[in-house]
Amino acid sequence: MQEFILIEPGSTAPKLDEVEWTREAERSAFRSEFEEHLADSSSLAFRVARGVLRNDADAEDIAQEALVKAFRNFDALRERNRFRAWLVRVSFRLALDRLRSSKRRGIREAEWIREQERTRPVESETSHEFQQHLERAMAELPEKLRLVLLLSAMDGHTLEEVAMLLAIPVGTVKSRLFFARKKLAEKLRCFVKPTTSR
Amino acid sequence: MFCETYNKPLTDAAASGELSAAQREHLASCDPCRIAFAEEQSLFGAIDSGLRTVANSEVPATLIPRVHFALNNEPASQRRSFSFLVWGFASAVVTGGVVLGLIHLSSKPALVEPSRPAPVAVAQNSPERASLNPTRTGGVSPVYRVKPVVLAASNNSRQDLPKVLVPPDEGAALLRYEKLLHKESVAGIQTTAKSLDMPQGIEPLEIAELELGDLRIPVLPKPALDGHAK
Repeated sequence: MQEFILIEPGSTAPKLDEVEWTREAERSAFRSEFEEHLADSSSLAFRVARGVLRNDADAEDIAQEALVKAFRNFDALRERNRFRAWLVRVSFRLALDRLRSSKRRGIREAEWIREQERTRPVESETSHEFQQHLERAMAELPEKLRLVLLLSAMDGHTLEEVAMLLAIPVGTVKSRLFFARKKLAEKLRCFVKPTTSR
Repeated sequence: MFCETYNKPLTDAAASGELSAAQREHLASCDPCRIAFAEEQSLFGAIDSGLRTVANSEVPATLIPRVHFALNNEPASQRRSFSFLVWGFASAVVTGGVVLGLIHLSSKPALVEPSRPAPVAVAQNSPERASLNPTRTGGVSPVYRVKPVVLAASNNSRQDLPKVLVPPDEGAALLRYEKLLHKESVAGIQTTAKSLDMPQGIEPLEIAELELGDLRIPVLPKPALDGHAK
């Protein structure tokens, strides 16, 4: 980030060595501070993008783009919560933009199916199918509900943290989560075998 | 299938995970509702499990190296161009300001010619009008008046210079440049004042009103007629 000094006409000139040294030290501190945030929050950017795009390669592109943007705006984002909140919003928005690009959609869907086939763990066919239905149902949810669902399902996120990330009240998070889960349940009820136990 | 009365409350309770005391009592006493509620819980369990899988996908090990690579390449050029723009703009502003100041200061002595007496503002009907416009003969003519203008150079123009924000390593150069310009402008003013045999303090300048007389068109003599005209 560019730093400036205030120059008043007629004042004495500062020593160049001192200025250079200060600038270098500040740049180094700036970079190391960003590195901390990068290590802490890169997974957040990737997972938000992955939740929207359902594709690792695209999600990685988006996460990279969001993190580079974050670096450019790091002066305003040094506080951890603000950084993460900003990163979530930008990653989500970039991922949605990518998703909407009609050219890539067909290719991505085909890639996603291939990737699912390749990386599918050894599990029952029913479970795998259910997961596919779930991801499709998620994709059909309104953006606000989808983001709340994703963030709430990420490891270690409490409702309060989700509220902080999205800059909305906890009550709003709860209600969005409730409606999102109900909508998913309506779409997925037919894919779950009824329990027979009493 | 839930009882009709408890259909919505128990579906909502399964979605939110919060059961009221009345609902608990009902579930304890109603087998169909208990079965339906267990199915709902199973459905939400599967959804939550699937969501966790989606939301916690493994982050590729290449992500952070890719970000580092992008950062090492991108910001340098961006900073450079940004710095160039800012420095260019600041230089233009400072140079423009200094040049305008110089023009303003240097134009003042040139306005006053030492060989002539200082112009005096003249009232419209004063007798001195004739000397200002000796060719004028009687009659009423429009007089275009220009209000006297007082020009005064500010001796403390340095105080008028703006403070500017520049990158730290360019501040020293800017100050040296500003100092040099200031020296040159002061020296220039002193030289001009000496050559004009004027005190170095700059006096206010008055511009007298202008008077424009009538336009007179002389009568041309008639041309002589010769034989060819017949």
